[in-house]
Amino acid sequence: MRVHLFIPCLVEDFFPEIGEATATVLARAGCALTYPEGQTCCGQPLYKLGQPDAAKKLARRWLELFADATTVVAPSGSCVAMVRRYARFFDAEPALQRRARALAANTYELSEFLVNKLQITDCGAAMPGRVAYHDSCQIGRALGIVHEPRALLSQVRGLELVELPRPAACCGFGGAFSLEFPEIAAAILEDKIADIEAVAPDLVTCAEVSCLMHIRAGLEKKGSRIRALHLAQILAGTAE
Amino acid sequence: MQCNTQGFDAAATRACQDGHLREVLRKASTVFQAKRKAGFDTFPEAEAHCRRAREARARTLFRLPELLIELESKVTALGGRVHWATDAAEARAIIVGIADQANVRSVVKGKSMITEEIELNDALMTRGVEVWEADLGEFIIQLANEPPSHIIAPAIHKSRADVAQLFAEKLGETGVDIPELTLVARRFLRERFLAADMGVTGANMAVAATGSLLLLENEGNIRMATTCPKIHVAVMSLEKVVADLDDATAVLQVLPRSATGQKLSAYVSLLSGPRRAAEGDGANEFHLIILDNGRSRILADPLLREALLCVRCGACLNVCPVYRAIGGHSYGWVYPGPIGAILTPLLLPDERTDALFRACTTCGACAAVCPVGVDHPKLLLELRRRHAVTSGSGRASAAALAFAASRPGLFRAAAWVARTFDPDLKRLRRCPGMGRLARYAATRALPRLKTPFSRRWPVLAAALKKGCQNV
Amino acid sequence: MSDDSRTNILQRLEAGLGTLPYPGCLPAPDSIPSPLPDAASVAVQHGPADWRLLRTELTNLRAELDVATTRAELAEALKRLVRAYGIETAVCWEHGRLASIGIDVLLAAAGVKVLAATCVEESGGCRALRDVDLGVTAADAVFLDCGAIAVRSGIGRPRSISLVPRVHLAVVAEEDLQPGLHVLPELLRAWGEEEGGLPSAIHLISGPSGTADIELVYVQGVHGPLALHVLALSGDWAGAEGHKR
Repeated sequence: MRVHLFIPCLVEDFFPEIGEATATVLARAGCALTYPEGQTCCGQPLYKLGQPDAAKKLARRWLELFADATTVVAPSGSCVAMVRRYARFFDAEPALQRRARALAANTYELSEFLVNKLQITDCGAAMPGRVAYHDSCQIGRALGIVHEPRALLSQVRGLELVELPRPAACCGFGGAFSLEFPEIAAAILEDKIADIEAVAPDLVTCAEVSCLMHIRAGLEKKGSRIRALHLAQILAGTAE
Repeated sequence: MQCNTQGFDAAATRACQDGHLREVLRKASTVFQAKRKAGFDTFPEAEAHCRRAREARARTLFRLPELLIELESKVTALGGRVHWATDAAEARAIIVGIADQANVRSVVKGKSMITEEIELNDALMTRGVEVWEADLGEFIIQLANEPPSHIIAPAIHKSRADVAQLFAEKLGETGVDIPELTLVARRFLRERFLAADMGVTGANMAVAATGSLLLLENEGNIRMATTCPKIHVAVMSLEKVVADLDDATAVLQVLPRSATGQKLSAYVSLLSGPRRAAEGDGANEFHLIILDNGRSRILADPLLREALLCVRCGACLNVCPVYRAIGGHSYGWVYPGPIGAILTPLLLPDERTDALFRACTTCGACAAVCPVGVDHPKLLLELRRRHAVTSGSGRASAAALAFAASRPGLFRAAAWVARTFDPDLKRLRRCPGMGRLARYAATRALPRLKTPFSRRWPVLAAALKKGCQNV
Repeated sequence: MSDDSRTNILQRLEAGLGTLPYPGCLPAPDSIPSPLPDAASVAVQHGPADWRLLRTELTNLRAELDVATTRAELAEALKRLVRAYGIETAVCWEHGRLASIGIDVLLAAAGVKVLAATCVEESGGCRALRDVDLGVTAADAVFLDCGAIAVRSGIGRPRSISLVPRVHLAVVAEEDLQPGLHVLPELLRAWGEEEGGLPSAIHLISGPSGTADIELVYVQGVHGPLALHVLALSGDWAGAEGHKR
């Protein structure tokens, strides 16, 4: 199966290793990968800030970049959720709207792609240790992806999956929110970190890049020994 | 309640750094979420019940003017009086007028957000009328002269020792443990109920087909306030009317479950007009105040009128991560949490309220629990969109970002510059105008800029190809 | 002026509804209302099983249930109640069921002074019951899905009887049982038809009064009764037949 890699902006400059892990996992699963160059941003932050016109420009660009794609996969739920909104922007351009709908229907978050499209849960990975999974809001609630990451993690050799006390509670990042209201974001994060420490895992993971960044930063600031990795990194068996 | 939404940033920052308040809010959130979950997990066909409740509320909105006319007609036929109030000032004037006319010297109240909204208590008190909040939590904060910290449990920030001291000071009578303190309040307020000339409540619902008022509670203070005094004044947010007994029951079946996990509140009162002739108790004068105060404007808004479906269960507050961190007081007005972040800007269009709808992580927990299907994130994003248009704020930087993101070369160049000269963004955060980045950085470690994925891809692609060939 | 406000408010609402589009997922104005879901309802069996179910619900609501199949059991239950709550004074609804079981006599036999329901009317309201220990009512309906007891106000049945005294005793019978809240509208409509309209007050009572406003610690009994006790007349209850009113 040919898969076009959708690399979120945060991954491009701050977490390229997550992109590498994603590509590795997909390749091992038998996908032929295409990486459209020139990817910048899906427009989500602009949309959430109430700037849909600006977001629309980026939507149009994204649709052009991925025009040849039959299947698109991203290591992020929020970006996929944004792509699934694109069609709304183009009421006045029916042809583009059709393309947007078609592409959106074939754009997937990594875990949903592996489990639901490729029907695989075993990525051949091994990572011994206690791992807690955080249900990112943009993965669990926005896209309804709840059991897929857990199914994948349960097949990782040596991995003991533990549930967090409030697994679906928001980590507090919320995109622009954490820049506009950093103290509130930190307070929300504090409770998430406390939940993580309460189950004493070796590692906490999630399928959303921004949550990972936020949670890892909170753990590091506390001097915690608990590591934070993206789901893709565990499935690729890579740990940076 | 005085509006202080412009103080949101400062209030919220203070609140989320107040250890005691955080502890109290965590506890409330945990308890209420658990209760609600227990109530819904054991609710057969919960979805169907919620859909039916939503239908009832939607029917209300579609037929609102006609239902209010029918309600007025039925209440009047039962011997009640209906008053229409355009705004808070008019509602206050009407109620003060009723009190004046009947020489009312003391009032007992059921817990009512709408009476907070219209700032009723002060209006009565300046006329020399004694006003007693009779819901225990409201009573405590009234004595303490403090604002509520939580909508369902307004005095939750007060320990038993705090309450004991408060009662000793203000009532001249106190207790040690919580049951004792509750009995002290019961004894004190019983005398107030029995002596009061007027009882004031809100309205959970009003049934147009029968002219009946529906009131829910656990304490009994609403029953006392509507049974003992001679006059009952009910202030109703105009969208609270429902078409008939079926629609009322549909909402009744979900409201207590969504609020506290109870199948029903301890007391549900269905009141149809004043007492009948030869009845021994109940008010003999019933007044219903139908209040607009901005709701008609919301109804006229096709994209935001959905907010009027709200039945005030409080479930959205209890799951909101922001509310859990900052509490109700930070929202600066009567309605906190996700629904407050929508209603307040709509009801107070002339105040600075944008912080309320900007302070949302769009996590969606609120929409997931709303029994009538209000899609809070959708409404909040629409408020943000409108604010961006009217204030023009962020437009320039959004356009700039869109410009840059449309030109990958530019994007890459900017990232290269940052990565080369300031990978930890240390210098950037000290730049003027980058204050927010600095505040952000103060709270956590910033990520580092690395060799971008696009630069790594060629090597990676080759390695993967090789890997596949070897497999 | 209220009249101008009325006109203005209604005009604004009418005008406001004129703006389309309306959220598509909401029902159109003239669609037929859906029936109320009844998934939570419980089949009334007209036997001891009903009381077992009711006991489960009432226990969850922190209310007590006694089931009496004979006069002797009824008298015993009342004596226990009087002792347990230290009842010295009581007031009862004027009601066929209560009269036919001779509640006044039974309470007097247990050493309780019984006041007439008319004392409320005569002394101008609730105050008459301020120091009364026990208020006794029948029930107009008992909902098996949630344990709620419906009481209608009326002449000889003041609201304060189930509100002001320390303890509320509701004497219920099989004919009161309803499968669930979903029948509430039809029940209310039937009552309305019987009486030419709804009574001034109907209360659905689910347990004693309570609050957790201090430290979220639940306390039973605050402004309403401190305890709710239900006495069920079970089986072929000779002498308790008769009108509900």
